[in-house]
Amino acid sequence: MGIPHRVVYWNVPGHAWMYLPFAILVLVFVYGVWRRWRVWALGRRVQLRPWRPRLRRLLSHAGLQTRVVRRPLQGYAHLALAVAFGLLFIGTCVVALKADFGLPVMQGAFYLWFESATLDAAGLAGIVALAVFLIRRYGLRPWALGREPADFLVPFTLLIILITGFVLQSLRIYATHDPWGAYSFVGYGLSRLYADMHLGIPAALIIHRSLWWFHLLLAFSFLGAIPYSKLFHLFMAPVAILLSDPAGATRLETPDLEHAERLGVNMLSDLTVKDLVDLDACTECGRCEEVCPATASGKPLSPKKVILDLREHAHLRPQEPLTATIKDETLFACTTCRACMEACPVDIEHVPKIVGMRRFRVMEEGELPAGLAEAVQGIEERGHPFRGAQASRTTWLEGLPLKEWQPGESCETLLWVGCAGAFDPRAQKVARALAQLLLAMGEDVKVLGRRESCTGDPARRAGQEYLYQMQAEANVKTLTEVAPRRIVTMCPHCLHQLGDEYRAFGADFEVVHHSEYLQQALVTGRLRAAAGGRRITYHDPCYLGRYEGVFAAPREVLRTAGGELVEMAHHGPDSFCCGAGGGWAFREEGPPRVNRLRAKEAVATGAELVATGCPFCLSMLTDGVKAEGGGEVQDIAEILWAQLAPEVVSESGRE
Amino acid sequence: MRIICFLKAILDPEAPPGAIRFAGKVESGEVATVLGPFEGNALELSVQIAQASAGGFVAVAMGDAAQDIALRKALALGAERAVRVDAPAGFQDPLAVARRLKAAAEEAGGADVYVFGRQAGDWDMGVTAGLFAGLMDLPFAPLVQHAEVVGANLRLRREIAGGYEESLRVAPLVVSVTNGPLTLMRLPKVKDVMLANRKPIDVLQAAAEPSLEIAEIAQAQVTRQGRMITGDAAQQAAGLAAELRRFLVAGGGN
Ligand code: SF4
Ligand code: SF4
Repeated sequence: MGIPHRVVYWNVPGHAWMYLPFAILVLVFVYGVWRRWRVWALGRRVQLRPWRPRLRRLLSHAGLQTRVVRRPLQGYAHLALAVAFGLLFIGTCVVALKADFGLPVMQGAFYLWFESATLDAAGLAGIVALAVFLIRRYGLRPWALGREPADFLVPFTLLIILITGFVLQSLRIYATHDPWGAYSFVGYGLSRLYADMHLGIPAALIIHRSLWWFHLLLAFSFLGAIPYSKLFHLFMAPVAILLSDPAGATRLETPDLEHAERLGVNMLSDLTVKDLVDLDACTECGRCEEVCPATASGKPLSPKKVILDLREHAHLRPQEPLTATIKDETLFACTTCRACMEACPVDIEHVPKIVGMRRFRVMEEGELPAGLAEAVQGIEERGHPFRGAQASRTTWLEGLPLKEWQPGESCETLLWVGCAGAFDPRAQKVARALAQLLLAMGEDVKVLGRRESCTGDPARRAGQEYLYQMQAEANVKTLTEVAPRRIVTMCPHCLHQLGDEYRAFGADFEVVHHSEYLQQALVTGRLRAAAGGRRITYHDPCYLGRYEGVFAAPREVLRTAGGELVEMAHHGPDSFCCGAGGGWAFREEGPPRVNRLRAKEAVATGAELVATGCPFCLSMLTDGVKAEGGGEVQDIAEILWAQLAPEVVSESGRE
Repeated sequence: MRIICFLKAILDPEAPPGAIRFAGKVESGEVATVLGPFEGNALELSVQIAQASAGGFVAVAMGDAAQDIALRKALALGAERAVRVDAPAGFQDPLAVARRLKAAAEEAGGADVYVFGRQAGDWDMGVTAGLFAGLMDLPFAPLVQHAEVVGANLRLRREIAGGYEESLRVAPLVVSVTNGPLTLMRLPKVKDVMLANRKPIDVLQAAAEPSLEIAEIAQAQVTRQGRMITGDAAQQAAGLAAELRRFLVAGGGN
């Protein structure tokens, strides 16, 4: 028997002809990549340093596909397929080394255990994975998956390639009586059938030769189609992951408006290379669309469609303005909740693109939806977005022994209440509860009063970056003068601004959300709370959870002071927006409203009390839960204040 | 068409109750100064007429430097020039204002259409536009909500009971503008705002005019006289009837 091996190109005498279609394949492939390269080259460069977190993300999200497998069925099937094709690719390279360079690599134990057994296992895994894909798409028919001809053709062709590969292998084993055939266990199994069928050797040889060419041409066509289809994600997904912001692109870019040629994004060249690569990296998996509150509430926005429409725009009409493709109803429907970005397995960044295009519409063309326009104008004229507010910045604290910071004073803890806490009657109660908790802790706490002004977050998310930057500069100046040791805020949007986005304006403050501060106080014993006996569910505000990564602290507070915690269907990083973000807090929304969808989930838990940690969520959920026939909605500060141990309260007096 | 648009920035009409105090004089505290709402409508109409007639407009305001925010809005929306008639802040006698605005209009070379807001949102007198028209000896079209340029003239629309009234008016004339779906002030483009912030505002010294002055101003006393009528429906109805009778007898409903 000699050294285990097989003859490559067995039974294919004119196999050298294959270099002709191969050359065509290479040309078609290169042309396809070049077409796309032209588009990427239009983009603005991105800063890649530091490299380390990017590489770590690449390894995790592309290598180990940690995001893909979050949906186990299709996720593990995809991982299996990717590994299988990786192995089959290596196997093919080994064949080429032997055939084209004469290297003795196709022999011995390596041939038996890798080239035969392992590759057969890989091929089999690939077939199973493809079957899962096809059954899911056409059997289970999830709504977010497309069913265009290409959606069928891609997995089906791949399936045929794998199956014909096995048939070829089996015919060779059958016709050559391959003594090591059993290592190629799938092909071997098939070859046994031929004996039962009494297949003649000459016939087997003819079938083998024809099928070989068919298999080869099909495989080449498939490879050639890669740069022209969603298959291109094979190459572009890792690039998109590598170029993605390791911090999750939670901080929007701060452009230099004074020197910008155009404000915002309206031409492909206003996008970054990352944005343009994203368009080619999209796998069309629909996960973003599944979690999008705008899509779920019937608004004309699907994050997947935004990416696919931009892709089409980039390839069909690259010189035209993006407003020709993406309409205002779509742009302004986004709540900037980041659910899409959290769900996307290849780290496509939807929100920066959407806000970029908003910036153009708002700043260059003066377009803003009704309601939002008035809110933004309110920020410009009176430093807050609440039209018709009946309060001043200090109305909420009347009667509390809370001091306003005065110039020249030091400041230990600054309570940044935010516009909602100051002007929204419901949120004022939260502000009072929080202030009293801080006072009960014996904290040297001050507020800014009339020196506080809107962080500008609603303006920035709406696309009015100019106004935002003015607000940010003014607030950073004030806070630098106050120089508090720490800032505590009850508004996740303020938290994100003061702690994160203001860094672009030279800010470096210690900013904590009240849930974290209160939780710390409970741990260290500065606050003691009586255990509550209620069934509570907690709504993760997008800007606290997905933006700032605070998930545990509010739950800890609730476990201590609330009672039994039950989770909604969507919680933690998968939380579902309340409908207020991206300026929607100030707009009229038609049914079905996002807050009703969220409230349904909350009510379905059977909780008596819905808790949250954001004044905007509070207001949205209060309306929604009431309409859905649920119980009370409260901020964690209110819940804790009500449960505060009497000896603590007696010193400060409960309201 | 040449247009002069008269603007006024006022203390924020949305300031919460009690934020502006009246104790002998107006104490504005921290209340913001904003473009008056009807002046926003006037500005919008000026932009529309200027665009439709391929003309231009000049913005004129009167007061101290706090008025500049109104003028800058006009510059951002395309005003060719901004003029401030320098005067102290606070109440101004409307006739004296009209006289000074006339002088400013003449300095600016006159116009085909003089556009005012229906009334300033602070003192709510609503007479300056009419007085100005009288001084200029021009026809006056009040409460306009839409203007269409017809050659050298304007077709003006205003709301009347149950519908609209349209009239063809011959320029030159004076109009005052009120709020309506078509006079909602547009948002300026940020580029234009940035440019407007760098443009000059011409300051005119106002001639002395005989003028009314406010001797004193006092805060209205808020009294709560509401009373809850309790009981079942019948008792509440009887209680309400008794209250109304008492009110009418006391002469409250004359
Ligand atoms: S950020 Fe939220 S609302 Fe906007 S597209 Fe993504 S999922 Fe939809
Ligand atoms: S953007 Fe991401 S999540 Fe959405 S369809 Fe494309 S790959 Fe899937």
